[in-house]
Amino acid sequence: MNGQGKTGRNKAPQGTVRAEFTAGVRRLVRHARRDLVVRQASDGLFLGLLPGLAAAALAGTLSLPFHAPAIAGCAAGIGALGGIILALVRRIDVRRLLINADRSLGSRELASTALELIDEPWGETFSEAVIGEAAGLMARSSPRRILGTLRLPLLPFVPVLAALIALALIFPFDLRGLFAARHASPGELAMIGEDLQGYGQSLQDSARSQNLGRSLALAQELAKLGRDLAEGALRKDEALDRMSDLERRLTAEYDLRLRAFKSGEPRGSGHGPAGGEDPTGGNRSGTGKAGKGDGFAQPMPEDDQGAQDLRDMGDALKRLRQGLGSSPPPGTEGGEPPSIAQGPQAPPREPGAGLLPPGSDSSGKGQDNAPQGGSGAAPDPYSNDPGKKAPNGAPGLMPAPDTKGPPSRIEQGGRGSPLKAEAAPGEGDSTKFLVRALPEWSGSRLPEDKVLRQYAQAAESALTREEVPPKLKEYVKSYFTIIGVH
Amino acid sequence: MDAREKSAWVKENVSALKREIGRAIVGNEAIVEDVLVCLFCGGHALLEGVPGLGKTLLIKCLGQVLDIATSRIQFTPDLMPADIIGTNVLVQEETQAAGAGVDTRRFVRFQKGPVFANVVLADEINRATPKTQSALLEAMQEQTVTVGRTTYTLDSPFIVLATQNPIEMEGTYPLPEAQLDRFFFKIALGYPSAEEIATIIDRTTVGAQRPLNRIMDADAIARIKELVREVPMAAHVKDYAIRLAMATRPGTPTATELVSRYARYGASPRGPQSLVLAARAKALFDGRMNAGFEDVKSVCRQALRHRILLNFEGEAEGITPEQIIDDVRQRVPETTEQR
Repeated sequence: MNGQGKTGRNKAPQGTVRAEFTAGVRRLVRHARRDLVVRQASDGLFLGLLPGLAAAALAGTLSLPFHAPAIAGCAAGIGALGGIILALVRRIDVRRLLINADRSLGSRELASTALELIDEPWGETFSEAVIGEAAGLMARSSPRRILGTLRLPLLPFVPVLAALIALALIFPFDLRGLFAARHASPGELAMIGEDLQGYGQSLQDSARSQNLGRSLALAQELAKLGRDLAEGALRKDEALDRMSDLERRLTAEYDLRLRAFKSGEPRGSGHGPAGGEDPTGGNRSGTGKAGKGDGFAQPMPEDDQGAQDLRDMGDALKRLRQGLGSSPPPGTEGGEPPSIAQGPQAPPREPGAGLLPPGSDSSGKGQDNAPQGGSGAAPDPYSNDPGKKAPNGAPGLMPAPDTKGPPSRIEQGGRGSPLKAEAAPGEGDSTKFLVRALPEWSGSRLPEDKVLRQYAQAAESALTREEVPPKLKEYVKSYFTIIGVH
Repeated sequence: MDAREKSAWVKENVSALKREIGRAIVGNEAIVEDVLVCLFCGGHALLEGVPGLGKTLLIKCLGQVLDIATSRIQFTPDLMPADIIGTNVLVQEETQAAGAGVDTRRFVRFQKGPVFANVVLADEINRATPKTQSALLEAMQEQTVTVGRTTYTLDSPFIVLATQNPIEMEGTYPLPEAQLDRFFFKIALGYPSAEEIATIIDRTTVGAQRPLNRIMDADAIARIKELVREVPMAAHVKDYAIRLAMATRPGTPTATELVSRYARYGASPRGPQSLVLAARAKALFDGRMNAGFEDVKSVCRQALRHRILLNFEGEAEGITPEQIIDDVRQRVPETTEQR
């Protein structure tokens, strides 16, 4: 079909033929505009429903400032309306429309040629005839045939989106549940175990130095758990069981200390309602209830080294649990690991290296919250120095705060670097407090001894490669000897 | 006669020509039509094919069905330019004087060569030397012949139908690019099918062959030539023809990968000229009054194959210009803004 059948139209007067063709083109443009409006409205509706779906999906996760169905409805309406407006203002390229019409009709560029001939006649022989043929062709062909089937590719998805929005509104869900933490690989678990073991051992030293029997037992158990993990001797469920048990005991122990702290009793009296730990390892009260569900959320004064150790053990277990992809058992989940910026809470510490040496001055900041009182003259079983008395007269407590008010400036130099806090000077002596930031699990997994060995090798090769005075060589060698690398 | 009647008249006449030639030539309808396109577009055709495919017969038949002067030149290595265009000869003319004696007059007269015809059959054109081949250059492009200081205009229509053999290359002189470009079409002839061979045998081995009838005279040819140039072509169709030709040129942004890799030179401006004019003729032969994309596509190979020169890599890998043209035709979109 080339659209050039003998219609007799080219016998019509010249003006009539042109008018017919122009009318045919206008009719086609009208239909094309209508199609465009429908298509753009459909696409706009679909695009509008997308943010609606997002709002409905997030309604269970976030607190939105608007009602989710209202957002969905408005977005869909705006999308559809925007599509219609765009379709109405969009310019329709008539030439392109007729080129496509020629393709649809197989008329070998008759209509598009005629369109050009309307404005610029080409010779005298065929111009009018071509326009006449094109006018006849357009009159014979329905606009639907010329324009082809109206395709609305996105329309089928509109009810699907609407259904999804309805489902999301009826059954709200928390999207955060979809993003579980990444589980550690066996290799990573082994590394975590090694770290845990080392950390447990350092905590044992701390507990021994403070003569804390139960803390010592907990630290030993932590170290053993770490060793078993490092050796791969534990299945995941076994590790989780042991961790749960350890966490419960840690929480209980911390709870005991917390209650003793809140009651204002000297922690060494042994007569508090919750009891406390005897330096000999026994529970003096015998009635202390472990694990009330407070976890480590409640702050303890920083001067309580035993509480700090317990908290650090809890943090270590928490990270291990993250590595294993498990959530803590009920009643043991505390708040975020405490930081110095939170005032009286103890800052997190690096395993091993971050532990305060026994007997060091660790009065810290925010000691305004330190418990006052307790009339007992008994030595503090939690204190490193049972005979030492605080300036406020509380036996066994660490020295009274020498500054007042919260820290005014905090500098945190990064992982493992000193963390400095400044506060307004108050009465009394000034005190320095040095802690180190706790490393994160996501950092390097290279053991320290390997790093040091590489460091030593690099230094050694540099010493042999370059001209270094013998005295300085000895100086470098002695440095590595001191830090334990041979 | 209105436009439709004119177009119908052209279609009818061309069909009659094809029918008449078809009495002698079996099959090859497309080839015959291509030759007629060249005739009515005022272009020249180079027919290439192995011996025995009827190249010469086809051109002879064309000469028979057209009521115009035809000549044939058999190109050989010793053919000289003067053998084609003619030469000045010394003529002695004796006239009886008014007195008693004979008045003898000698003068130089130009003896027209075989190029002074409407249809020139240049048989096996690649067998003549480049010098002789070049004798046709002026005639083909300007339709004039210059001898000494005198320029002679050739009669219209003027069409050179040359043949050449792709094999037996020994002792041949490939046509220079300048001359190749002057051919409107290069038409490749293929072997006939078994049925066509059977028909050929029946026609040529039984009885005597009737001579072909003259169908068209020079006036009719001139009228059709005029009508071909009147056929409207939309700007986007013309643009397509130009983009097709441009895509055959290596180094241009629109060149296809095959062109960039294997072509040394692409189509000259004569390429799109041929495409557009031939598309118009094709449309008119079909009884249509406007040319479209399909018309352009249908003459792509014939109009461009001799205008694409392969580079060494293309020659070595056995790439043909037809492959390149097909690739270009496939990759160049009809319109720059496709639906």
